[in-house]
Amino acid sequence: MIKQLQFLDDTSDKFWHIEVHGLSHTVSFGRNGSAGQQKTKTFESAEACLADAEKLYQEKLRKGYKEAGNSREYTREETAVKPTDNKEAIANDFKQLIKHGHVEALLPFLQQHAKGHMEVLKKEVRKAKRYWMTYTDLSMDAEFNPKLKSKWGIRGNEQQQYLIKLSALALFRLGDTSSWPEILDVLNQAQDPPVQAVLQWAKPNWLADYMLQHQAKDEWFRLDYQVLRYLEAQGYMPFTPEVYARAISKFVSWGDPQENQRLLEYITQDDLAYSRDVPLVFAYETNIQNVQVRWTLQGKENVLFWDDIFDTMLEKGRIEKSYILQQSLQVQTKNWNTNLRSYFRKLIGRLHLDETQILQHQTEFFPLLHAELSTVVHFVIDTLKPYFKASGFDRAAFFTWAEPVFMRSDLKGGIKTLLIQMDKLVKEFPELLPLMQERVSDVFMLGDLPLQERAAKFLLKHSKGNLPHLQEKLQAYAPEMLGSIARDLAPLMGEIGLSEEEVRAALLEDAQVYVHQTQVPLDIDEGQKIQYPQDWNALLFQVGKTIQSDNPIDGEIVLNAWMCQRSLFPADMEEQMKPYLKQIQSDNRESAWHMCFTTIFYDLVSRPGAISQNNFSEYQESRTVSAFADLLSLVQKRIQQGISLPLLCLPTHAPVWVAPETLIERIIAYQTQGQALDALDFAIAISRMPRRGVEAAKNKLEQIQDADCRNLLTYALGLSDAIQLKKSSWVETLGAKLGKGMLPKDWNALWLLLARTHNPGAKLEAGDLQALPFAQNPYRPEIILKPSYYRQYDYEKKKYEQVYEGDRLDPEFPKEQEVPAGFLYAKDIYQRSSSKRFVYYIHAIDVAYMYSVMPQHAEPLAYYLNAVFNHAPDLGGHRSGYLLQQMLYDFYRMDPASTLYLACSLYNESKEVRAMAGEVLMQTIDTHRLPAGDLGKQVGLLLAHHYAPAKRCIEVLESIRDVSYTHNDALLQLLEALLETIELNDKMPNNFKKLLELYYDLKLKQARELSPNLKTALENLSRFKALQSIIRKILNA
Amino acid sequence: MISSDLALTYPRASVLQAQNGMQQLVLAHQSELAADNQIPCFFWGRLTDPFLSAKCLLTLSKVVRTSFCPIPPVFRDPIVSAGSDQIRFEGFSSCNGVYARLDVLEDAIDGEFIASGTTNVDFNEPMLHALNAVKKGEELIFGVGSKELSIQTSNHKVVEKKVSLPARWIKGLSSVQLFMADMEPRFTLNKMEVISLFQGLPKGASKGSFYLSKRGKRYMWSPLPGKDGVHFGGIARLRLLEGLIMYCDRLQVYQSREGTAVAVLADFGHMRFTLALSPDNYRGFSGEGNVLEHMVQEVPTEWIHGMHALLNSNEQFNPTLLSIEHDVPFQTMDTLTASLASIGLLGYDLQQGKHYYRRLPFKMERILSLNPRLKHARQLLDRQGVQFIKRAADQVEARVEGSGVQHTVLIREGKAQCTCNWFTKHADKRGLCKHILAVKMQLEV
Repeated sequence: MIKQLQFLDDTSDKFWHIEVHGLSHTVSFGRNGSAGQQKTKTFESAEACLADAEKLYQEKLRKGYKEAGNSREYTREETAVKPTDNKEAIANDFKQLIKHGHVEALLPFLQQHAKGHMEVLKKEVRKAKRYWMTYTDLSMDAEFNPKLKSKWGIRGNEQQQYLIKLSALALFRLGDTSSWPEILDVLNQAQDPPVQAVLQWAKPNWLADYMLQHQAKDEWFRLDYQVLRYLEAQGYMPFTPEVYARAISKFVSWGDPQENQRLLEYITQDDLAYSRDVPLVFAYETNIQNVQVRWTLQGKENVLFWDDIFDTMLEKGRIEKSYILQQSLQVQTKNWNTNLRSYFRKLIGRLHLDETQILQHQTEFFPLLHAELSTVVHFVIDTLKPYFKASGFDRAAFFTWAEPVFMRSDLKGGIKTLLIQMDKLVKEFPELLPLMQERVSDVFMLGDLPLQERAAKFLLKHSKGNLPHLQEKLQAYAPEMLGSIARDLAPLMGEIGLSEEEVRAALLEDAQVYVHQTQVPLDIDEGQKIQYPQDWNALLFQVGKTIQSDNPIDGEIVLNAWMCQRSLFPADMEEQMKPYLKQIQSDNRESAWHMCFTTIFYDLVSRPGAISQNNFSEYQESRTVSAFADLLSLVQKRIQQGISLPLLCLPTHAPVWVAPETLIERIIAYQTQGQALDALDFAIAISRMPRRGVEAAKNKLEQIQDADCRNLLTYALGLSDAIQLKKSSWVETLGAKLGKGMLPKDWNALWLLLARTHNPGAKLEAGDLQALPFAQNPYRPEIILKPSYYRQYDYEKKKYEQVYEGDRLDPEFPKEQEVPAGFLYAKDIYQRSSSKRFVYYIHAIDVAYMYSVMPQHAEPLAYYLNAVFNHAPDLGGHRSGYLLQQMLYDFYRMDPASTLYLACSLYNESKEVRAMAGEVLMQTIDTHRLPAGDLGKQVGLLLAHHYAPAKRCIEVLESIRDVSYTHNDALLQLLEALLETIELNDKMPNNFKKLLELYYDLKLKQARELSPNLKTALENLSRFKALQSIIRKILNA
Repeated sequence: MISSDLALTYPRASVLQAQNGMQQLVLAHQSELAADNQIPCFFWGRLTDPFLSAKCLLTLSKVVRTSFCPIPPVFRDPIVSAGSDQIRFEGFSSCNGVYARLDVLEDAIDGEFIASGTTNVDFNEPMLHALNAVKKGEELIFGVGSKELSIQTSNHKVVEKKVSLPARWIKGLSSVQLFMADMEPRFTLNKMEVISLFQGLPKGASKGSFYLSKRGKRYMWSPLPGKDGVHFGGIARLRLLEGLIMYCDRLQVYQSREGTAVAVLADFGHMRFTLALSPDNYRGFSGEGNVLEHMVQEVPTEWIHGMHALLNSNEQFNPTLLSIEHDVPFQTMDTLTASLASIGLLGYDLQQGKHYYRRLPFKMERILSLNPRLKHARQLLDRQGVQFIKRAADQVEARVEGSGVQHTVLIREGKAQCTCNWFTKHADKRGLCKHILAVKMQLEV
């Protein structure tokens, strides 16, 4: 049996046929004119095969396929679709036509050949576009002119391209046009004779859908309005509001004022244009706010085309003012571009409505008081404000609708206006008082001191007698009241139950004054003991975990297993690892740590025994992270040599600790196997070893034979204070070179590492390493902030100017020098060229790793990352938050560099980073780790240098307020230090007053006295007029 | 096969306008199920608090017309279930990450339930704009469908509206019920706390995750989970509720047990508004695989019809009753309840902690065709792509065919692991991968 079907509609032109041969049937299908695809299916019986074929056939019929001619027996040869000579000839003719750009020949050609060859020709059009209209490398073309500047270009000339687009218009159906926005070009020339003729011949019925389809993808996609109307008149473009709205709002020509004038006249005079199409701009989102008809750089003469249109239409009586008003108000609740909505608000302003008109439409304004956009609410308030006292104004309705306004922190300006207006209105309309009291009392929900003061003043002035409802509300809001407001409003709040003294006493009961403690709690928690994989399955999935992990310890566990737990490997280990190797290959994490790990791990599995020859330097921006690459090489070497010893630095307890007892056991195991210690491995191990659980370790210490090693560990455990630096001796140098141990310099590096870890601020005897940062002295040069400028073009002066954008943090670094492997603290402290300021490969896991190698003394890390992420507040993005995450560990010591890091983070551009900084602030206060005063000084320093907007930092500080008495106390200490030390030049940072308001509120809450220093500092700040009132309050409180 | 998007065409537009001196809100409806589609009117009556109802409907409309990921927002109409003296509106954002439901309870409506059922309703700009202006204390007639055959609209011409509902939208509607059924109440905030909480919301279109926790007496947003933090992914989405918070008596916060999806329920007494947020902006409820595990077990077809005869829309679903009726063991009933929800027959009411009956207005085969991962797992079984290495009560180990590699699936202590990309990336946070599914299905056999 052979059945042949075809399917034809607007979007497709395809065939389907089936041929049954005994036990199998073959289905061929595809686009008409092509050979299509074939699928053969075999069955157990001829009946089943026939039944299945019949089923498929019926299905196709149901889907709308039609029989192609009579279903009859074809031979295989007949059904195979072969391009006929005729088709080839037509395709060739068409190719020539395009090549020569014979526009006038197109239509006759189509009239003669198109019928029956649509698919062939369409295919040629598509091919032609690819060939003639694509921007491509032309250097291989025969006609290529090697003198041209660029090898790349477009083959087709204007005429050829025009012809291709025109052919597409002539031949395509809607389904063919989805990647053909170019047809628009010829459509926009619809009135030209060639296009006209093609349209007449093809009579496309898909143009409106075509426009809709592309309009949705591209906001610049639009027809000329007049062309559109022409197409409409010709019957090609049925009225489709979206398309018409887009067209009528099209940009006009800047260069040709007369052209614009003609368009303006057309729109305002043509019946359909002004009555049907102009109103569409209220219904569909357009760009009319950007259509400028006259425009100068100085902005003096900017005239919007649509202002002209509305003006003219109003003048001619083609549109009603009230219509524009209503529609422009309606637009405000739509989810449109904010500038467009703003245009319609300005349009209302241009109507110059008088009192009667506004009052007539007042109820249409009211619902907009609930608008999401604060500018819309402000617009309503400002527009209606002049009529508040008018006799026809429904004040009760207005203040009822205004309810949500008073609870919104983004409407402070509007609230202030309304508070002033209410104060004026209440004398004349006393009946509104209860409603107003309701509204005003909601202001206490907003943590804004000036507004709260204004609201309190209103209530105290206008509220007499017993007002139970108000009383209840105020009592509920009392905890939110700032400064002395709760006290001032006490008469209105009635009995609160407790007197102020009692409340304070209750607060003080568990009140703990904030005291900074330099000792951080540090403990090895047996519950945090790291479980190494116990069987192969656990190890297998540990590898999977590591691939996605942000915890470097996961990877160290895997490496350890490859060194020490090879007995777990099953015979098909490599086979089972394959899915992970595949993942590693297609992995694109940009972290340096991760790239080191995956590269080496891939080799460990797939080329066991080999040593990777990878050069990681290109993405190793931090030498601390590079240390990991060095360890990886060590691991490979050990595996190659068949040494099965764990690295000394493998953590035993989460998050990063190496238990002293375990470390000593490992060293003894090395000793037993005659294996030398690696300086870097040893350094990280002792850096990860806290002085906890010393007793158990102490007993094993004697088993260590090497005196250097034993002495060092004795000090490391805190059992001795003697630092024993070594002099270099040629015997030992030679020994080290022969692989028999470490150089004296390496030993000294370890000694210094330990000494610095346990004496972060002290001056140390550093011997021949004294030139290294953090060796002899902690590296703490003065904080450097340098002004920064960007270049901006001034259009009026016609030249570039330098614009100040605030100071930038520029930490000082010493010159690069050689650092022995073990002195981790100096690795990243060296001057880099300015091009290396930005880092690309430092991500969460890298920062976590860097911290994990120096968990007891992170000052060098914070110092380095200050330069990397905090140079400018918008430099590090969310990555700035990674170090903050480490600061959340209870044992993180807030050294000067970390404190500065935190101060900078309070100003970071990223909200997430600031939120994290707030969290660090909260937790370090909780654990008494925060040097509040130092932080205050640094926050003030950054503020005075205009490092970033003050508002960012103030928001974070405000979020800490009232968490507890202790937090308030710490915050107060921070602010006191800030205000005492800040040195402002003539330009006061914006919002600086907010900082004083916060201080004022806290001072009252904590009942704190002013110190003489602070008093002087405040008097000094009174030179800024804007600060005088708040400073007076502080001084008088 | 139904895999393409569903196109809705309403007979007319929903309108809010004055009719015989009264404001009337009449919703036009449409259902893919012929029986429901022919019902002219489900409910006709009065809204007792039209101002607040209007605010809630506007908030719902805000949800259905937004998108928080690169999928452009398309206005997707909500669906309405009427019955058992309640009307529930459900809607989804275009990105499928935000689900909203408005429960209009008995006290908020005063009228007649003419029929029980679930249907799509038309939301359009003019109607929404009119809703904006509904005042307090105004009278408002409300109809789901219309009693009259034709309604005169002020714009004369009713434009036929075509809305296409993509498959994932429909799938999201069923998946989200499972998420909610898995949620526990975490916090209850009073009005004051709600307002100050919303004031503390990180400004702007913040995509980050934040945790809601209680510090001292205050509720706060923190970037860290802390002890009792409730995870909110894509926190800016919570702002959708902003227009409602000043009217609610209290706000309840629910979190799914695995700790990623979250729902907040604003309680107005006679109405409730639920907003459920997917774990993150880019994760729609539709793509979450939580449905899959339940679909390993199939629901008997006669139940689907049986339930329709047995229950009214919005009626509380009582699994015990059904299990007695059909003689099903109680334990099986739990999975079956989830299955019923995943095929769109049950909604979940957080407040009551119970499922309720509502049949999505879509053909059953449409809903069943929506789970590619399940399909792929079945294909794996068909190809015999699963080989057991170990099959014991306490541990199952299997090799499952992957693309060019053999994946290891390990089920130990009730925890399933796989070496595929999906599991490595998401672990068990986003439903099972097809390999684990296939192994589980094989174990069922």
